[in-house]
Amino acid sequence: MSVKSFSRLSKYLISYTLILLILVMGTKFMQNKAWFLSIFFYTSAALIFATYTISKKTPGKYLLPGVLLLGLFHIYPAFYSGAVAFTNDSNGHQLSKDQAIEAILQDFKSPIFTDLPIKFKTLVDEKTKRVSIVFEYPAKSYWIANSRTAEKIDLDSLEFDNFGDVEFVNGQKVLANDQVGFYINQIQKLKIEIKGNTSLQPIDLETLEASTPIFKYNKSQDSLTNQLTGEKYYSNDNGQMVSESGELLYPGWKTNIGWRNFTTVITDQQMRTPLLAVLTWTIVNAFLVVSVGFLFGLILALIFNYRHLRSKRFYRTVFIIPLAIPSVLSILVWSGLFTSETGVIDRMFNMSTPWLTDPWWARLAVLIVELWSTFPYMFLISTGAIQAIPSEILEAAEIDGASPVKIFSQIKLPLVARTVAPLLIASGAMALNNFGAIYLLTGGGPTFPNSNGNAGATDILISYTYKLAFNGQEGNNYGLASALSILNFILVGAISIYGLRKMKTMEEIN
Amino acid sequence: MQRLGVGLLAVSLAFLGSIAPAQAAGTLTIWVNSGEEAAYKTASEAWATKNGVTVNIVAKCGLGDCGMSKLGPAGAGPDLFTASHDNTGALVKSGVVTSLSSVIKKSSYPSAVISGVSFNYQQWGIPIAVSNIALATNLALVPSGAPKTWKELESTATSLIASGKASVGIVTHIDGYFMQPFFDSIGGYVFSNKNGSYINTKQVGLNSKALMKNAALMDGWLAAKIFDKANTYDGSNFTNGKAPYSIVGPWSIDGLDKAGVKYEISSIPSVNGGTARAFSGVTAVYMNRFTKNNLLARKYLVEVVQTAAFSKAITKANNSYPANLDAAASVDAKSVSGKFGAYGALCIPMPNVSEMNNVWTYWNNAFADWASGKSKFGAAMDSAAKNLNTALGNK
Amino acid sequence: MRPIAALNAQKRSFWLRKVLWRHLVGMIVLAFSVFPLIWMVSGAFDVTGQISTQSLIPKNRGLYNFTQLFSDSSRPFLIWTRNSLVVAISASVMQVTIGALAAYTLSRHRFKGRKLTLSTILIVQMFPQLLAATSLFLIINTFGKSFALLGLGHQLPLILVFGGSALGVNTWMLKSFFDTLPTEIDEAAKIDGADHFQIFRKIIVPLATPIFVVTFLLSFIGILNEYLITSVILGLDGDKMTVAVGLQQFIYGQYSKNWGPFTAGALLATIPVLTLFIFLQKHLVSGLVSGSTKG
Repeated sequence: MSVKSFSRLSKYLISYTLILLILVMGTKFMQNKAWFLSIFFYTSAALIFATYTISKKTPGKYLLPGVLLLGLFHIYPAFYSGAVAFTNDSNGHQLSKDQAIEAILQDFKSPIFTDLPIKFKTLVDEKTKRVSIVFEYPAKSYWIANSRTAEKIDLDSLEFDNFGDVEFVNGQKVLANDQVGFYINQIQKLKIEIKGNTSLQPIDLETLEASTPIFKYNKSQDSLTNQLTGEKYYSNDNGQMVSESGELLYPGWKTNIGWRNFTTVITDQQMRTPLLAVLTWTIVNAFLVVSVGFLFGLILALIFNYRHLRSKRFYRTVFIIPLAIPSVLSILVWSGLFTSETGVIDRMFNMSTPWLTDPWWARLAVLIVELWSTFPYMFLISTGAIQAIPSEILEAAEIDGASPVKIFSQIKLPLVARTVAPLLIASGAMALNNFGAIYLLTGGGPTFPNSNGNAGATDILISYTYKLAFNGQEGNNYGLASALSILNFILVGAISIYGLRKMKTMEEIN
Repeated sequence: MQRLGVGLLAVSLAFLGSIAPAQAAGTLTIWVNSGEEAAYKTASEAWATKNGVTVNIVAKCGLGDCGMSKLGPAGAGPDLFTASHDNTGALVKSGVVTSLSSVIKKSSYPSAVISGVSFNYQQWGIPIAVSNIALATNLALVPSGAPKTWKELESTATSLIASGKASVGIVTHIDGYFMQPFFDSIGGYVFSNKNGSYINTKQVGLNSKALMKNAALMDGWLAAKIFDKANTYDGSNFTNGKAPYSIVGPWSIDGLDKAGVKYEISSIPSVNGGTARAFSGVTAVYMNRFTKNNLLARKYLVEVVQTAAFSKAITKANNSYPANLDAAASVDAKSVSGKFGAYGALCIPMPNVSEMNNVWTYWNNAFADWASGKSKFGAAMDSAAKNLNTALGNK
Repeated sequence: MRPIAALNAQKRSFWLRKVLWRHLVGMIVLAFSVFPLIWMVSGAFDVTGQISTQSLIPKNRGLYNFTQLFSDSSRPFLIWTRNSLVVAISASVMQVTIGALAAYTLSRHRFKGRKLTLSTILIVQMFPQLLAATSLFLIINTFGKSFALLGLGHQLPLILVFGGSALGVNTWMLKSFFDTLPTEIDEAAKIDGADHFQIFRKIIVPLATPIFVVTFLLSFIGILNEYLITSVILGLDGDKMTVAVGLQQFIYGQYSKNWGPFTAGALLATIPVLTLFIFLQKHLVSGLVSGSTKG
């Protein structure tokens, strides 16, 4: 076989194996009822087949792997989160409605105390392998029950052994103790209801526990009735059973609530006020970080781009050290350094500043740390941009006698800005979502009073959303957090698109 | 070519098929805190062999509710799992745990511990370990040892500060959790919990009558430097002998030993005689409501988890104090662990309701305002209580 | 004065005016730059485990934090390091490869929807994966029900998740760099009979080594740092954690923060990355510097 046809053969082999693998995976997902995943995998297999074996168009061949991964692990989760925004997914609303009703019926029970434990014996139907149990409750009253019914059984049908335990039922022998274990799966599902509103459940392989259920569910009316007080509970529109007097029963269930999460954000006073403050700070913070960081980086680049300065490389290496330290760790170290009065910074400058407890000092602390993380990158790209300025322009300006300030403002700054503009926009987008710097340093900063979800003075939208999801009032509120994530995405996306457009027009002007 | 394709198909199917795990009958899956698998395995071995059950211990817990609120209802949870008791409220409200009221033997545990795993008049977890903070006394500064009464603590501290030997009385973080014993001693509480099994979040006690009456005491102590006015926690004040007392947890012991401090651990005396109660944390085992092996899990809880031997084995392995009374009795009362535990039996468990998320913010802010001098203790707590009530929707 | 002395004097004054102040500025910025690093070193050797030690050279110093770090068998630092390296290296290689392939076609091939693809890539990345953490958790769990190796607690799904962010800002940076390579070399190769993939392999890739190094390094650091999604997918089994997740365990408890081993571990985690940086700084600087020309 020639080399060329061997490589072609191996290419086919690889792609066909891959397609086969993906098809098989898709089928397994289908078996396990993971519909979206199976459809995705089937589609991917088809796309791979189409792109690599049939199509002549080259761009697809380079883009497809990235696009598939992007779709499955970035876009799909985003949509998944988005869908949650329209539900009341939160602490107390994790079950389905059936599960929730069942849980309420199970949990609310009055135990019935008996002098002796209620023992039972197990029978197995030869043909159907279905299990029945026989027990005595109350004294001298015998029952036979299975997963569907429970009925009284005459003493005549029973035969007892020497210990007084049931040995034969209608001539059939009960299971020996060491045999009962094989049927544990059926036994543990038994829920027996007998007259007088008594419910019995096995608590091990030979004992039952009796109790009086407090609630009864009426399926047609969709209502729960409290057997003791007679009070009725109906479903509300937030996935819970509620009585006329407003008492809520837990657990509730997960249900679709439409746009309510979004409207809450606007109408709830406790959310609206802090949210506005957080939004403002998100934008201001990003703007300051990018602009001050860029200026700082640019000025440093100008200073250290000097021809006669040896050891340029030394400074370049040292300045980018902040990039090398894992931010997770460096920011936590910074938070320790900013401790008021006994922290290193206060001791160094002999101050006593409430760095992390006063809103404005906290914001300054956040900006300082963000500046520390950003300036290396800004320094590097500015250096590159300055080096790219054609030297003829600079020489011409010097010959013309322009002052250094004029050279900077009329030539260097605009040219550099135009070159690095797209990178600045990308930095801006990242600064809008810079979770680590905020959360690890101040945790969102001194908290505003009266804020749902503990919004604080240094919170940006993403840290506020995170706190709502995992730390909110009444526990986690994923629905609300997902709604905020969508708003976050729209905000960042809108600002970035605006920035991109502006950049395009700038380029056209120049 | 075709045969190759079929062969590949067969191989990949076999490979993929073998990856999915098989579930055997008579298996119990338990999720535990990372690092504790070995201890659980050893403690369950005898029972597992005797009953022919495979006990599968997996390290998946340690944070919050172990993911149970999502995994349980989806059918992806274990049979049993461990969590710290302050998750009880959230777990019960979400409906992912089974009531263990008829399983637990209340007499095996201190009533405070039972209260920690109680919610809505029922018990939901089997306690294993208890942890809490305690008072540490620097024996170099206070040779007479731990104070038996608040008066003794106060006078020792003030005289040391007056003579210049100490710069502060009690080195402690000034926030709700660490200040709780002092808060308790002057009559404050977070939520009322009359019979220990029902927390009433509609009744907030941050500005209770007793507390408001005694609030001035806190201001006095702050002025006397019993507490650090600047609210800047610096543990070295205690290790360097510049403070007679400190509030410490089991995690601080190593640092103290390394710094070479001679100390004594004790309970915190209350201002009105008796003991000031700090918050204790209870680690407990919970049952997944959606378990497919509820009888087996129940049997394990009754025959293994509730025994003193189990509590002893687990807590020995991870250096904590057993919740089980019999196991606790076997811990050397003179050891540091014993001293923590003795105090712990008198402490109240942290309220296990999810409304606590809101409490911390307002409560901690109030303490910060008081310590920095921004407002008096009574006023700070009063406004915190009002904000909290608004946040919780209490009238 | 003799001419040479005069020249030297002039040189010195020149140096003082034009250069000295730059060194002064440099020292100040240097101090700012390494500030937390110094305290990290200090804290790592402070045996009482304080994060803001009293003095730069701790009073009670020793190697205790390091021994504590390595002696806790439920917190195996070396295993974490191995996990971190496996995940970070595989995921970075994947990111660079996917990014390079995409950047090549976006730079070289004019096709309908090219501009749209570029902007879409940038915009899509703006939905932070962090907020989709719960969704990712449930999705990977669903994977795990069908294929255990792809489920929670395994490294493969984590690497794939990072692969999902491959088409992003990195692609833009790579594309900008490719744009600076003149198309004439492509033409020359085409005349010689090379197809698009051979051009990529034999011409573009060798020339783009500096920018590949940059992209790999930035990805590598980003993934090493990442602990939120990593902890959600890898879970809490001590043997499966990465360094970032594992070190968090020491200070997770609100009241039981164990700064000692945390700082020691942080220091150990920083040293190799820093060394890598210094070794590759030539490539790194030239890559970033040229990656910004033509934006």
